[in-house]
Amino acid sequence: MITLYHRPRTRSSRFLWLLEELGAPYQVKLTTTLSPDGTGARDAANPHPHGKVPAIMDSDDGTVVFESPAIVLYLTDKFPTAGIGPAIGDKDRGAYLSWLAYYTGVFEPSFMSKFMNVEVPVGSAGWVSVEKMMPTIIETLSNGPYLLGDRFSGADVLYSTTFALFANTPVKQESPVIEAYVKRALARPAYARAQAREDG
Amino acid sequence: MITLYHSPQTRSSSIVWLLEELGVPYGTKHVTFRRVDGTGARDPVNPHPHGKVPALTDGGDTLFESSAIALYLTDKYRATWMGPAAGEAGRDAYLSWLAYRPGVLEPALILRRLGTPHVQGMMGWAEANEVEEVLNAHLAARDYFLGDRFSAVDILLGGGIHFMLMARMMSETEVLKAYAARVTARPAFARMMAA
Repeated sequence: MITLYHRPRTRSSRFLWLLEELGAPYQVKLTTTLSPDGTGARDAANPHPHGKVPAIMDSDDGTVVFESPAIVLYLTDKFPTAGIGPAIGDKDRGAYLSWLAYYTGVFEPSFMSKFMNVEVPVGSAGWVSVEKMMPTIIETLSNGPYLLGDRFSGADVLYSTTFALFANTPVKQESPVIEAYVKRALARPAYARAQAREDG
Repeated sequence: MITLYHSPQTRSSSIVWLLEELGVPYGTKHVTFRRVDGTGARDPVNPHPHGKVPALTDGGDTLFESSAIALYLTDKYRATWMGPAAGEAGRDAYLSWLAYRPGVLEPALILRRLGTPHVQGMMGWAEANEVEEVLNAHLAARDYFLGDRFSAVDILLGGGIHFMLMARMMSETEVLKAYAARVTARPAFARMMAA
């Protein structure tokens, strides 16, 4: 049984979606985290080293996984029957690992840099500016329709929800390719099931 | 055959270190990329989407991003243990700490150096001082990130800590100093430096 440490409408929400996609047995443990406005508090029961969400605990063996790409990979490797995580040895495994790592190492810091008006230092930061990053993603999804081609994967759960989150913010990306991608991904039945469990 | 797209004294050096630890045959292709001082240019042979290093090809597989490359290599080449396999004890910590290097350590410390304020709850990483606290507490209790055994996490995250200490982007503590000395004492680290 997987326990998801979850705070509604945060980065942990999409893990409800992933767990629904996988058909994995899971329970939701609602937790609190510190908010940008200074409200909220860390929950001592949350095993994440910084008290953030998401984190998961697997009661089969007491394992704890934190950081979104690590959780996606752990879960898609553990529950392979849904076919949304290429296994070790699969021809798509390299691309899958790369896009998962890119999400946390490039995609997130890139958007956050734009949001904070930080000029990304070329060559010393591991990420690039949004202006350099987006053509790569748009090109990949144009050939797609998913990051791995015609195959929906756990990586799409991370990217599509992030684009959806930006829809009404200053970092929104005007792109018909991205709009169609988000619509396609979020139309999946498992996404609707996850929304029904958003509040626990 | 493994080909590493590499530039000496950059992030791709970690992958040289890992390949030396694994003891697998590999080739390196030295590529240029745009440097912080504006010199250098993208090399069109480099398959990295932004022309950065490292990137790696192996048979029909192409990978970019250090943590992805490390995981791919340690899952595929298992004659030398450099990390728990899927289903093996410790896989949870292995995946989590591998993701922590690009997702938390790097953005937290680089943005601190740039003077960017941390926005709690919005940024996917933690405030830099808190990152230092977590790393010190974790390593005070064990020799390596996964406990008694050296793994690829100690190359990526450990190598990152070593570099951040040298660049004075992290506060030097006895714990981190001893840890960095421990991991950089490995023969494969010396072979990477000499390469």
